[in-house]
Amino acid sequence: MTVPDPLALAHERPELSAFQPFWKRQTIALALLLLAFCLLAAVHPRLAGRLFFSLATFFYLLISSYKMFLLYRSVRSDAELRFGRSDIAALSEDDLPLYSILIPLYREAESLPHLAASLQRLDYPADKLDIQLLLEEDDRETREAAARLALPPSFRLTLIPPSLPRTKPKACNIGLAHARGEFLVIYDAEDQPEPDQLKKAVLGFRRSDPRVLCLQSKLNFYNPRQNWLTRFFTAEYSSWFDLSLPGLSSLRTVMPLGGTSNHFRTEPLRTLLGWDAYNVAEDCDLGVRLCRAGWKTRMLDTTTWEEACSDLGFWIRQRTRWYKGYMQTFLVHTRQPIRLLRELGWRNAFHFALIVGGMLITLLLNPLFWTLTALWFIRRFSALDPFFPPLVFLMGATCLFVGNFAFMYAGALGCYRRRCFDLVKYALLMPPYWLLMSIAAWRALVQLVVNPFHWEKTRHGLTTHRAP
Amino acid sequence: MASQPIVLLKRLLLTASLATMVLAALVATDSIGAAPDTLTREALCWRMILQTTEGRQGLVSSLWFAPLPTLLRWPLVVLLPLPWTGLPSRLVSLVSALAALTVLWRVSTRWLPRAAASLLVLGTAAHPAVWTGALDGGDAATLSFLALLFAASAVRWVLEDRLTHLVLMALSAALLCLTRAEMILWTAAGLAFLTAHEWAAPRLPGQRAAILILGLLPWFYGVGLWVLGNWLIMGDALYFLRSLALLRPAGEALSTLSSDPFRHPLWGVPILFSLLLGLAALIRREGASFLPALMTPALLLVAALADAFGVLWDQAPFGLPALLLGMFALARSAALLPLRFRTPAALLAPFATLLLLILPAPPIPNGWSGLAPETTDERQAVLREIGAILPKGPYVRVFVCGYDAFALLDGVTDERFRHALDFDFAQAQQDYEGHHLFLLVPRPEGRAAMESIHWKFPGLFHAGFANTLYAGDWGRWRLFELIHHPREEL
Repeated sequence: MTVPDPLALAHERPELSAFQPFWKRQTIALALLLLAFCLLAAVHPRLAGRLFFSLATFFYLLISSYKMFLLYRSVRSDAELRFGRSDIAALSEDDLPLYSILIPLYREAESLPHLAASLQRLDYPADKLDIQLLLEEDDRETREAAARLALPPSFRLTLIPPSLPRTKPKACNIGLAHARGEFLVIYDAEDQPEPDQLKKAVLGFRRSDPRVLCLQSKLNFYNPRQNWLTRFFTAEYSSWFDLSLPGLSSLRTVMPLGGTSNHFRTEPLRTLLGWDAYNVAEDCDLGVRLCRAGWKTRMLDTTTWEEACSDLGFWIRQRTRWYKGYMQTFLVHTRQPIRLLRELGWRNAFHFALIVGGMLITLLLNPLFWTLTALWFIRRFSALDPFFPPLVFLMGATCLFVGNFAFMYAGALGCYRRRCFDLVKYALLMPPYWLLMSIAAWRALVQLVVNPFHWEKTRHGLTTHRAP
Repeated sequence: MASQPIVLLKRLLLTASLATMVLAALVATDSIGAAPDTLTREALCWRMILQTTEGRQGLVSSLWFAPLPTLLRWPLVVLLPLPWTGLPSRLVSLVSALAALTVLWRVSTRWLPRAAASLLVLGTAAHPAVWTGALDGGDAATLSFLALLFAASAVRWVLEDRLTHLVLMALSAALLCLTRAEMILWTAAGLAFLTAHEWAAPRLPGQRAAILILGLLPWFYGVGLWVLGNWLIMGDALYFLRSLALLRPAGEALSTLSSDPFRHPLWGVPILFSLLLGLAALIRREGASFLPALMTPALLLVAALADAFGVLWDQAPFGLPALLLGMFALARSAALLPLRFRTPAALLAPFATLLLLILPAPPIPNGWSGLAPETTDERQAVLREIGAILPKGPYVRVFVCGYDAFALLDGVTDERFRHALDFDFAQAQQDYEGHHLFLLVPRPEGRAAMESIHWKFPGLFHAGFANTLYAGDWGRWRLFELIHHPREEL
C-alpha cells in the first residue's frame, strides 16, 4: 500500500505551494517598487505623498464600493442553495452516498466528548458515515481521550506521523487519501453542525452544476454573548457568512473558503492534490486553486456552530494566523500573474485581488489613516492638505463618513439576519474591533517574514455554551 | 429557453431603444429650460473642485441648499466640464427620473397585470410634468425617485417583513433629508408611522429594537452628517439652521409667490388617488396601505407649511413626487380590489381614462418666486458695470454674498470680486487692511432672503448700516461701500 504524500502539492506543483513564501522575482519586484517610491519621496516628497494618498484613497473607495456591491448581491434568491424540510424528507436513505468527515485534532481532549455527541446527532445513516479523527501520533492526551470514548463504528482514528510542517492541512491531506466517501467535509473540534447539513450538501451537489466542487456552509457561534469580543466576532462573522460570501456565490466567482464545514466532491479534490500543507489558511488557498482549475464553489444555506474565541490573546493569535495565510495565498497566486489571469479570467482575478488582497491592504493601511483622521479632527492638522487634492479629499471623506457607516450597518444587518437581534447595537460599535484586526494584520506581516509556517493554535473550551 | 442569438438580439434592441430615448431626451432639452438652481449648483461643484473655502461652505451651510444634489452632480461636472450648459444636472435628473419610473414599474407589476402596469408607467412617463422634471436639471426627479423608493419600501416592509425593504426604506429616508430640507419633516412623519406599526406588530424579543435601530439610524446619521459638516466647515454645528430665525407666518412672508401652487389641477389627481387608496385600505382593513395613502397628503402638508412661512419658492420639487406617489397609490388601490375586478381588461379601461385626464394637464408651474436667475449676458453686464464704478487700482475688494454669487462669479478672473458665503466685517477689514471694501448683497426675495448676510445683518439691504454707503443697484444686486467696521452685528 502506498503511503499518501501529505505534501503532494509542494512536491508536484511547487508554484502553487506556500512552501517558498516569496519567489525571487516577487522579492525583486517589491524591492524595486519600494526603492522607486523612496527615490521619489527623496526627490519630490510632495508628489510622492500625493501619489501614495491618492492611490490609497482610491483603493479604499474601490473596496468600500465592492463590499457594498456584494451586500447588494447577497439578497438575490440564487445567492445560496436552499433546501426545505420537504426536500430533505424526499431523500431516500438508500440513495444517500457514503460521506467522509475529516476532523483534524491536536490537544483537543476536552472537546472530544462534545464533538462525538454533535456528530452523532447528524441526521445521516450511521452506516454511510466515514468519520476520521485525525490525531497526531504524539498527541497522547487526545488519543487516550478518544480511546476512552465508546465511539461507534463509523468513527476511526487516523494517526498522523510526526513530521514537519505540523499543520492542519497536512493532516487533512492524509485523511483525504484515506477517505472512502463520495463527498467529504472538514469539521473542527468544537464544531456543531446542523443535523441536516450533510443531507443538504448531498442535495446541493446533486442539483447544482457538476463543476461545483465545493459547498461552503455558513459559520456562526454558539457563544455570541459571552463577552464583548464574542459579540463583535459574531457581528463580523454574520456579515461575512450571511452577506459577503453569498454575494460572491451569486457572482459564481472565486471564493475564499471558511476553515471548516466545506463540503467537497472527494475525487476531484484529490486531483487538486488536496490542501497546501504549508499554508496556514489552507481553506482560502484551496478556494482560489479550485477556481483556477475551473471548479466552482457555492454557498449552502446551513450553519455550523463554533466557539468564538473569547480571550483577546488567543483571538489575536488566531487572527494573525488567518491573515498570514491570506498573505501567503495572495503571494502564491500572484507569482505568475499572466498564468493567473489565463486560468481565472479577468473577472475572477479582479474578485480575487479585491477580496483577498484588498482586505489585507485595507487592514494594513487603516492604522495610518485613522491616525491622520484623528490628528485632523483634533488639531486640524493642515500640514496634510497638500497631499489631498480636491478629488482625493472628497473620496476620502466619502470613505470616512459613508464607507465606515456602511460597514457598521452591514455588521448590524448580518446580526439581524442571523436573528441575533440584541447584537445589532453592538455591531454599530465595531471600530475598536477593526483596530484589533489591523493589529493582527501587522503581526501577520511580521510573522510572514520571520516565521511563515508557524501555526498559532487556537485554544477551545473557554465557554460552556452550546449550539441552539 | 430562448436561444443565444435571440437573447442577444433582444439585448441589442433594448440597448438601442434606451440609447435613442436618451439621445432624443438630450436633444429635446433645448426646449426645456433649466431649473433655476442648475447653474448655481454646477458652479458650486467647480468651487469644490478648486477646493475653495466657498466651495466647502456652499456644500453644507444652507438649509435651503441641501448637499446631496450637489454631490450627485460633482462627478459629472468633473467628467463633463461644459460650463453653462447644465448638462451634468440634466443627466442627473434624467437618470433620477428613469430610476423613479423603474421603481414605479417594479411595484406596479407586483400588484397589477403587466398590461395595466405598463399603461400606468408609460402614461406617467409621457406626462409633461415628468418630462420637465427629467430634463430640467432640477431636484424634482431625484426627490421623486427617493420618495417613491421610500414609500414602496415601507409598504413592502410592512407587508413582507423582508430585511431588504427595511434597508431601502432607511437609506432612502436618509438621502431624502440630504436632498431637500423639507423632506426631513416628511420622512420623520413616515418613520413615525412605521415606528407605531412596529410597536403594535408581534415581534421576537429584541427584534423590535433591532428593527428600529436599522430603520431609524440612517435617518439620524444623515441629518447628523449635515450637522457635523457645519461644525467642521463653518465652526458652528447649527449654522445651517440659523436662517430659520427669519421665518415668519404668511402675512409677514419675506417673499411672495408668483402663482398659487395649490390651485393647479395636477395636485388634485394624486390627492384623489390617495383618498381612493385610503378608502380601499379602510374597507379591506389593511394597515400597510394607509402609509402610501397618507404620503401624498403629507407632502402637500409640508409644501403648505413651507408656503405658510413663505419658503415655498419652487413648487415643482413637490409636484412631481406628489404625482408619482399618487400613481403608486393608484397601483396599490388596484391591488386591494376584489380579484374579480383585477383582470387586465377591467383595469385597462380606468388606466386609459386616467391617461386621457392627466396627459393634457400642463406641468406644475415652477413658481420660482421673485428673482429669476440672470442670463450669461446679464451676469457679465452686472460685473462690468460694477467694475466700471470701482476705484482704480488693485486695492479694491467686492465681497459678493449668497449662493447666487456662485453663478455670478463663475469663470470670473477679476481678482477684485470675492465670493463670501459667510461674510465677517471685522475679518474682512483685518485681511484687507487699507483696501477699499465693498459688499454686493442680493435682494432678500425668495431663497436669497435666507442667505447668511441677511440673518447675520437683518435690514442690511433696505436700510444699510451706520458704516455702509449705498453705492447702486444692478438687478437683484445692491452694492454697499464699507467705511468702518460696523457696530451692529448678530
